[in-house]
Amino acid sequence: MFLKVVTLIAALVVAINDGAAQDVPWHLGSNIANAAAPSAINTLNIKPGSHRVVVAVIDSGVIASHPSLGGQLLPGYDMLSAPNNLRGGRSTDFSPDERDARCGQRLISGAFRTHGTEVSSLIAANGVDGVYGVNPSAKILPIRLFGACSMSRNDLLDAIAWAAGLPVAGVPENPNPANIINMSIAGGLSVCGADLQRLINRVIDKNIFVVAAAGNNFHKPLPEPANCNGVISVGALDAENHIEVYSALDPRTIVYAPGGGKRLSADAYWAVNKLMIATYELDFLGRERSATLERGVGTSFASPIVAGFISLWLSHNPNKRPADLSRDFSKFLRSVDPHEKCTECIPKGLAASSGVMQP
Amino acid sequence: MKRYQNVLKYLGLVLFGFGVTNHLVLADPVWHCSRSEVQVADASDDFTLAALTLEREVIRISLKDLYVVYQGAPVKMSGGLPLSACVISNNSNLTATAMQSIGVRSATLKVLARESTQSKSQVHLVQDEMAMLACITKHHPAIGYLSKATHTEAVGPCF
Repeated sequence: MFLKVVTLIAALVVAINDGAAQDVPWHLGSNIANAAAPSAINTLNIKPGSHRVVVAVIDSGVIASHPSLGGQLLPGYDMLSAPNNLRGGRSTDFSPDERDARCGQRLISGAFRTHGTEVSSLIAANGVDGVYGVNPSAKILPIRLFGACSMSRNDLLDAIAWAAGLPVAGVPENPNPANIINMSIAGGLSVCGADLQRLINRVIDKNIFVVAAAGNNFHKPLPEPANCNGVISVGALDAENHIEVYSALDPRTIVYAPGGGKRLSADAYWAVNKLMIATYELDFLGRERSATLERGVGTSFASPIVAGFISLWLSHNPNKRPADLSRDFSKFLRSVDPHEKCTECIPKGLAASSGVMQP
Repeated sequence: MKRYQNVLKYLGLVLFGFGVTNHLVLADPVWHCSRSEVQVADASDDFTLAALTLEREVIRISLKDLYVVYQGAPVKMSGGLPLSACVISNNSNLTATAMQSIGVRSATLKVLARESTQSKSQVHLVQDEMAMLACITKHHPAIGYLSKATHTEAVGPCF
């Protein structure tokens, strides 16, 4: 009997400790010594610098009313053109369309409605409702590119150009050009198209960092836009520092970050292995309400963690350029468990140090 | 001394036997399904959001579907596509456990194996686990079983 009571108390203590650790998203690290997930980026105690950093999120639009994004959004744009745009064409309304669960009679994943909001929250969420972006001082520039129906390549090119402050025919000038462009999208051509590469070169020449998801193609080579030169391609890790089974596997992948996946067997708070995101869900009456959920899975969610990390670095070092990355970023890189299927890959993850705040 | 050695040998054999038997009993099959959407396009306009929901991404199969399709009866998925079922013919342990878990008798399995040679059958006989994975991929939407959870572009655990 005594043994049972002791065991019960011990279990309660473990549960309470786990509960405390879970107050902070596991991918950012932990305030408890030696309790951080092996793949955590450990930015928890690094305060943002004084410089404003704009991160463009080219995605499915952002729901501006989400409390976790209050005060974090800049005026964005809906770059989806007709006929794919159910609203009829491009406009300043960057929120997702409520009809985005359906294209004609074809039912689409609900991700189209919430994806851009979730991605933005990983970069710059303000901490309300327990969602913390890597850099809560960053400003999000939302650019809607996806709806329920398909998008065109021209829309993608225009979205990147507008994010960078380049002129786009028929679209007002962007008054807040981005320092970083995040694209949690994948597909297109297996070799970066000349049109996309030319544009990305122009964007990088303007000292803008371009970050893209490596794609969820289960260990195949990088798709566009991650396969373009100069793009910071981001693969997904599980909490234990292993490359996720769904992530693209390609020696050109620049960096890996937590992307979530199947629950892990470890007895730790991070074994949930999903990313905490600001999103929306339906209540039992079918009404949509804002929510904080640990459910992010995909290279979509690894990419904004890297975009957020770079924005944190830029907030202290505003003069850093993409060309500085290979030299200056090495101090934040650490080894990732190599994958047997890619012997030429030398995967690297991110781990913050005080160097983030130093020139 | 020799007597003790013999006892130990006997005990070792018993433990080894128990281990093997136990291993066979514990080798539960993991049911695998086709993924509902497979991204294989190489087209300039074909981009998608790079988020996954691994649990939801495979086709949705009920236990009844599982039981019915392995009885050789047709099962239609939403959209009207027939569900295919893959069976490993020469891995008796895994197949036996899988079929036992859904109540399919060995006599039924023999009938299914015979029917699998007919082109209209939705049951496909394969040689090993690698071929099982290929079978589920090829006959989308399809179902099968493997000894451990496996994720590929086209296949994932069902439940």
